[in-house]
Amino acid sequence: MKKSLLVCILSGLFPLFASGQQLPVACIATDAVPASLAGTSIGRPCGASAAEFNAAAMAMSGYRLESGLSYGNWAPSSADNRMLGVHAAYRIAPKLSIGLFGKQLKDRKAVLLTNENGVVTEEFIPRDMMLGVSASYCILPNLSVGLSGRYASSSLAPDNSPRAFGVDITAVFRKDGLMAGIGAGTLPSMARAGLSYTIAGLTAAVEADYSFSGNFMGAGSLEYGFKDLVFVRAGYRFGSAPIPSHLSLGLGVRYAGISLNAAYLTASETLGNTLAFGVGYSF
Amino acid sequence: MYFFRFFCLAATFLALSGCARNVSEPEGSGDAGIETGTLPEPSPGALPGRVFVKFKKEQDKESLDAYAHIGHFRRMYPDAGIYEARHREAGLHLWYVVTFDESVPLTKAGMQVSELQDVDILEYDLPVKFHQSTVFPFNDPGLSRQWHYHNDGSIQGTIAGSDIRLLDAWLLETGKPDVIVAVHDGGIQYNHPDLEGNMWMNRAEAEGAPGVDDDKNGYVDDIYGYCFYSETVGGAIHPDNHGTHIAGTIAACNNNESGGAGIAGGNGTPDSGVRLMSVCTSGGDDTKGAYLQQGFVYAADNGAVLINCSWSIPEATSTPLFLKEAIDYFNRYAGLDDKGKQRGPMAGGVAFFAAGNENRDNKEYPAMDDNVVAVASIGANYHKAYYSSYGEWVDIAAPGGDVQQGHQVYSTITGGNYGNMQGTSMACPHVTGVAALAVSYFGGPGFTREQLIRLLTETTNPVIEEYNTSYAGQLGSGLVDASACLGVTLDAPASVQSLSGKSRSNYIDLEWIVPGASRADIPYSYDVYYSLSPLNDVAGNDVRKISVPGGKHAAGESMAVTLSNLELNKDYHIRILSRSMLDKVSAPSPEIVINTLDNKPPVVEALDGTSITLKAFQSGALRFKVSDPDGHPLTCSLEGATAGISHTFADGIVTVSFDALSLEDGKSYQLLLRVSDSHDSVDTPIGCQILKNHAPVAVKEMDNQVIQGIGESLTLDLSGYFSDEDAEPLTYSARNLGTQTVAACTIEGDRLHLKGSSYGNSSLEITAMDARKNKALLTFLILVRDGSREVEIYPNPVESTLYLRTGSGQNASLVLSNKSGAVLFRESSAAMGPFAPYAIDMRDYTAGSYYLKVNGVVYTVIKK
Repeated sequence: MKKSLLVCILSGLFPLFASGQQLPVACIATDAVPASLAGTSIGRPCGASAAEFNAAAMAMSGYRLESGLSYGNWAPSSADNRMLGVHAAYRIAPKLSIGLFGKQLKDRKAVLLTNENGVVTEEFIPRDMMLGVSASYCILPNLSVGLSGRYASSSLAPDNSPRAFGVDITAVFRKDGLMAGIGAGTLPSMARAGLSYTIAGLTAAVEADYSFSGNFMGAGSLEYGFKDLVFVRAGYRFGSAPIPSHLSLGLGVRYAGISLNAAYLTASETLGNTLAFGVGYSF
Repeated sequence: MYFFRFFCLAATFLALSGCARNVSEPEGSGDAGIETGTLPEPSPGALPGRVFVKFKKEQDKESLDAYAHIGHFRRMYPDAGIYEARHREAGLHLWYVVTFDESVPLTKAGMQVSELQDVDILEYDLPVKFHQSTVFPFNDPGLSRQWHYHNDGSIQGTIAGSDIRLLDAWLLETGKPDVIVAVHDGGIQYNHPDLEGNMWMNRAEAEGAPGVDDDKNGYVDDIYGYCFYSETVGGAIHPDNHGTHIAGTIAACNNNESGGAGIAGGNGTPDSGVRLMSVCTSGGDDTKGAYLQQGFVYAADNGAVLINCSWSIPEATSTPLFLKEAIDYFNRYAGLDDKGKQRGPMAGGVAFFAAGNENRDNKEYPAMDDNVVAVASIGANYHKAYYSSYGEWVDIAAPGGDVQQGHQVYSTITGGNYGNMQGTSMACPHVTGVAALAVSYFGGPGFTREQLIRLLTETTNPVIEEYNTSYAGQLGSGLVDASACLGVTLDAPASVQSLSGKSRSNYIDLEWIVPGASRADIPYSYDVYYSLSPLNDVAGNDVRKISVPGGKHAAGESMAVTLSNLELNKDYHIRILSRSMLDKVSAPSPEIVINTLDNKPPVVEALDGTSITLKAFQSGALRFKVSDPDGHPLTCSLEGATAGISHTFADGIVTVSFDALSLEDGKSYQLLLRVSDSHDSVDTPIGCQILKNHAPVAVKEMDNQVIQGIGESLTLDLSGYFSDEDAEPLTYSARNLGTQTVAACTIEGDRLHLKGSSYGNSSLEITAMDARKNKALLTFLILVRDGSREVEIYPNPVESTLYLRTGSGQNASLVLSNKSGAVLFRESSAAMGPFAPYAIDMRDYTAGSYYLKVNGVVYTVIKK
């Protein structure tokens, strides 16, 4: 019955997936933790950012509350955007968690708008924004599912402000140190699958992403946490779109529930020198 | 003690009084100056500008020169020759006349002279009054007030002589009753005591029945004239002051112990004085008109030969034809009967018109016409009256009064009274009156109106020219002079005795000496007769005549005239007759025979050659100096001329001009210049070649031009792009071929100036054209862009194709990525330029922000 219900839901959502928006903002991780892990999130715990990237993982979290605020400079050698993100996940019942998130990317420099003759008519600063709410439920002790609804809006020009709505479904299996997850959504329009194993503070994860526009990405990451106080992170993503290949590095500290994290992206023509900083609180 | 002081004081006073100097006694040696108290005061009538001084001893030249700062010194009695000795004995050699500027006060001059050395006596010049008064020939009590007839200068402000010199004329003539003078004006008071004796009377009407045209002249009861006043044509004459005053000047009865005198008013005997006809054209109301023209015809048909018209048509710029024809009728038919025979004292009539009182030289018709005698006005001091109109059309001047100087004309007015008036209206009847005297004196069979006009205008007193230099030539020939007019001799003038001549080709240059023992003998004009036959009779059929005016030549002076249009190589017999003003002719001069010579043909000298070659756009000329050895007038013609070839002839130079543009290129023209006098021609062939024209060509392509901003400019030298084989200067023009104008375009000579006016691009077409409208064309693109931007990316936002444009051609590396960093487009060497922008097709890109890195510089592109 539950399996049939799951199939029906997926079938009904397929057309939605097929017509989904490939908004770049939806693919960008503003949180320093997933950013420093090359964006791997579907098959591994990802803290407060689970509200955005892996709703099902919220129910698997050992924390009642996980929240985070991030700020960074995205792709300074190309897009040069200022990014801001906020994530939060909260377990409201033993098997039920809810989450919400929001993020904004805004160009640091104004765009020169021109007419057909190349004459500058005015200047404008574009920005992108996304908001979302998530819910997660443990249907089995080792299995949880998650659902996320999201809204994206772009301000591209004085008379040009497109909007989009989307959903994202995820499922996560966890047993001992192994965690596996799958997910699909419309914003971004993508299917993801990932796997991670954690032992002695070291978590290794791999992920495969397929964009419904025809692009394939893969990523791998390592995170070592010393006594759950200091964290070192690294990852590598390969692919061309929506997120190009890059190397990610990160550091983090956590004490008394407060965490500070930093991420740095490099080895990318367009994303090089991306920096993100985050502060979180969990209990 | 006190007495001593008093004595000293008194002595001091006495000493001071005894030391008084005679301050008038100058220092220096010798007697000097006049003793104090003897310098005379000038009497009120002392004449300015001179004093008389007697020295104690004779003055030498050196001394007199030293006194030059005071004035000019001269001996009152110059060296008397054989009587000098007794002049000196009488002391006359010691008297001197000292003259100086009249503006220097006499007392000042007298003081200066009196202070000279050796001055004995100083006196002032005084006028004298002749005790014998003017002798007037008539007993009219008002005659002494009529300064306009005789001005002796006794009236203050007048100048003696400013009159018509009537008294001397009266010695010869006072007017005859067969001379009828019409007064075309307000009506004459025909029963005025001083006029009734000289009124013309139509006997038939006077003795006929009232209301009946007794004499069948078309007018009823026209006893003393007729009324042509438009409101009441016919009927009684309306006497007014104006017409009556004029009539009195002309012919008030003289010598009747009453009022004043009239110029031709007779001498008091019944058969003396001209007769006045009243042609009444006024009813006293100046707003009403009159049939002016009928008055002239009436006067002519009823015996008048003179007509006085002291009026004009206000502001008229010409005389109406109906009036002009009437005046011409009077001029032609007055004095003639219905058969055209002279019945009166003069054949033809003369109309006298006042010049007008507007002090101007225009709009005074009919006085300005040639068929009338126009009269201007002077005052009692020879000066033009302030009101008198003037101009070259004025024939003669006469006294008309000048109230600003205090002198008017005295004559009859209505009511049997007398009064003063001024105006050219008053001047005009003075000339009419003198004309009436002249007709009375000279009139008779054969006396013509031309002779009368000559008598009046050729005998005037030119003295008024000295007093009216700013009106030179505008007050007629001078002041009417009755005495000189009647003094013209009735005899034939002296005949010419010294006629000589010299021939040149078919001309004969004649010369003679003006004959005459006295002024009266000098001919007025000359009649030159010439014939191929002996001139025994100047009236022969083959005799030709020319008239030569005598001008102002005096006796003994030389006169010359040239006979022309004569036959070549012929003997001409020539005589000359002198003619007087009254057409009395002298005996013919001795005949001379002059042989005309052969004709010398014209001489033509080519100054620039006889052929010319021109390029297809040039113009040129050939000049020829032409002359005639005989002095014949020459004519020139150019055979074979066509449009583009012309000739002029001036100052002895014939200029043949060629305009190649009007001629066919590649063609030769042959012309013939013919210069002719009256007998011969000289032909000169002329050649002109016009070279073939070559159209301009473009020698290289024009580069596309970029202007780096609005207001920025650049200049192109167009001469480098076009060439003309004929080395002809080309004219250039530019035309915008695009839909928008991006640059202001001006051409100066061969320079094209472009100035950016709006961003964008267009194309220009440059045309080079020669004088024959052959053209060469070149086009180029022009771009006006914002020079401050290295790369222009447009349009942004983009819907389909994005363009990249630079100010100059270059290759650039391009990387296009989206916001998530995915590289969507890459080009390592994208060629782009101002006229070849690089295009990126972005139709398949989703809406959003994109980042284009051009040579490392990132530009944000918005895709809609």
